[in-house]
Amino acid sequence: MDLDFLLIQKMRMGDDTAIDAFVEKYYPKILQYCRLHIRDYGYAEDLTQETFVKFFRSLSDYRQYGKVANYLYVIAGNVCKDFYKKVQEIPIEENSEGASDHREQINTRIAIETAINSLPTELKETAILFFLQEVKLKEIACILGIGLSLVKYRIKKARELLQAALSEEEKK
Amino acid sequence: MKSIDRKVSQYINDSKESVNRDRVRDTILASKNAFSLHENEQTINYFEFLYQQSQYIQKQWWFFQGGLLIFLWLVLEYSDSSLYVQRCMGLTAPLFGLLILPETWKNRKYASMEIEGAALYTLRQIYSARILLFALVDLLFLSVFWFTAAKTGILSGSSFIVNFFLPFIVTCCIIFRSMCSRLINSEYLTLLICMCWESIWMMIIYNERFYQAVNQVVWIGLLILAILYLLYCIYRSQKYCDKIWEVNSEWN
Repeated sequence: MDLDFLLIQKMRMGDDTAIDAFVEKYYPKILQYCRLHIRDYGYAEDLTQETFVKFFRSLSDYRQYGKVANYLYVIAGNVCKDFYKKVQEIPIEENSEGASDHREQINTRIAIETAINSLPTELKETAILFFLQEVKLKEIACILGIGLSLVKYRIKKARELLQAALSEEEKK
Repeated sequence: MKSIDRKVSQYINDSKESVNRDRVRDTILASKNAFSLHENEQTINYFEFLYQQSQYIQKQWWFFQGGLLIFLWLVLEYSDSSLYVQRCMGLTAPLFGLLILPETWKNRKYASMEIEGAALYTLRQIYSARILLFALVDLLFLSVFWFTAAKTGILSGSSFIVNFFLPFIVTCCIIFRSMCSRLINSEYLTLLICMCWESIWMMIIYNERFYQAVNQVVWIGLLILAILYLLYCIYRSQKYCDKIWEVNSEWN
């Protein structure tokens, strides 16, 4: 029995501290996931909030078959897709954190985000989950509803393309 | 390859630091509001709760109970329906009751009370719903059986009550009393006690002199006593369920 199971049972009983702990635990991962789809930080925060709100609306009907994080990724993915449908073009703010970040950090962030966004859509989704969210191969297959061999192929392909894109970025 | 892994891990570390605390607090608040709003909308009535609980009960046992009654009806229909055959019908009554034993003991056997204790509903609500469901289905089965048997003239009402309903109620008393007992920890022990009861009942119906000596009024009196004791067992299992099944009472 994992800790999330107990956390979910407590949340169902209306335990406020369990809800706090749950959101605190998964907020950074979901924010990062949304941010890699919607590069605007403000929008990504809105979509992260929407993901959690949708999760808690369906909490009483939720049946835990796999990891709860995977379920959150599925919701976040749908929220991002809905957002894409509403807004076709989003203004990109590449450095919305302000001037306090170090130059190297900013460069790395821009390089990674640019490289990820340069990937084809199906590779991008797999790459975000594997490289940046550290989700296991089997779980990615489950989230995306594809076979394990296809996930492995996409990761291999994404790795090659990311490597090429990052090398290109370094040369500049 | 190292370049990717290094940059990705640096990116992940940087992202962790850049979470806006105010937005996290807003998200927590919005999540709590969404949950409480949905819970208020989702309040279910008692019939919906019963239906929900019925989803967790394995229906195969009701199927076997129905099959047993059909078998009994066929025996009565195609035999001479003598009083002796009607009397022997009582031997299947404990078996009819025993068929609900695996379902009533399931939660205790697999120690799932801890999980149910943490569920949205109390143990008392869950068990009362399940007992009510078993009672309703068995009542329906027995009513249909009685009505069909009486309609075809193979079984009288008094014979059904004395020879089938009484041993069935006593079996239910054994099942529920053992289920709410701290001393009896195994459904197999309950099964053994029911078998003993079956043997006693067999001795009663095979002892012609004793059986004939017992007046109809005495049988009815025994039946009333058995029903009252069964109600007491159910009341006890409801009142002391937390203590008997050692679930933290604060959860309920």
